[in-house]
Amino acid sequence: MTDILVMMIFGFPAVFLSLLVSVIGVLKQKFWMVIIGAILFAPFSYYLSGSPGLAGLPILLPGFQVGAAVAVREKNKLWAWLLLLPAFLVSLYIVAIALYFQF
Amino acid sequence: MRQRGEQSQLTYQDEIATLAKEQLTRNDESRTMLDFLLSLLAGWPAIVTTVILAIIGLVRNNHRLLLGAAILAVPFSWYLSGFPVIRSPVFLTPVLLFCSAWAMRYGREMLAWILGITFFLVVILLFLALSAGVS
Repeated sequence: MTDILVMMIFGFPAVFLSLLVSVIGVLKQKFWMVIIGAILFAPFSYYLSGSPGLAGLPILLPGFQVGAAVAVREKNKLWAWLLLLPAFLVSLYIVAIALYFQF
Repeated sequence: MRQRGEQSQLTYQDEIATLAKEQLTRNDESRTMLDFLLSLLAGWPAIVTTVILAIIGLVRNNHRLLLGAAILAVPFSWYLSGFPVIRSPVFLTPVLLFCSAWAMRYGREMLAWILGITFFLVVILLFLALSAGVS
């Protein structure tokens, strides 16, 4: 059960939920939703920052989401979407790698 | 005379057999109906409907939809917590949605969203636990 809990918080369930909440936050212009998204994304980025070759850089990913939240608060939608992109791209990259090695 | 007696006994036995067969068929039908209702209320259809209702309720700031989702979540969470005896805290899952509906009703949108997200995480956890075969 603990394994599943860890998998849920550090794995893709939290990531998908984080991205979904962030997108809804930007669409509804609610900055706190993007902050919740960043909090949900933090364990995954912490986990990812431990992988070799990435030099611990993924730990900065929730920072982009916090930046997106600030942009939403400042009513700057373009910057909000742009700052959400890194989290999206990294998630897609990890999904692609996982699928590539599975099939 | 004897032949007529045997014939009437045979007819009586046939009737009993037919009645028993009908009763069995009726029992099977009612059991199938109950199984169908159980799978509808305690299975994946209820879970998916609950999640969709909860998402729409949260996005549209509608506490009634969240309340509907919470009511719909009661049977499957009770079933998953070990129907009829409660063996796990999973049966408290609808409380999250009830609280979310309450928060939405009184204008506390952030609290409603946090409770809703917790509910979604619990549902994902349940999905993972069920697919992993953990009871």
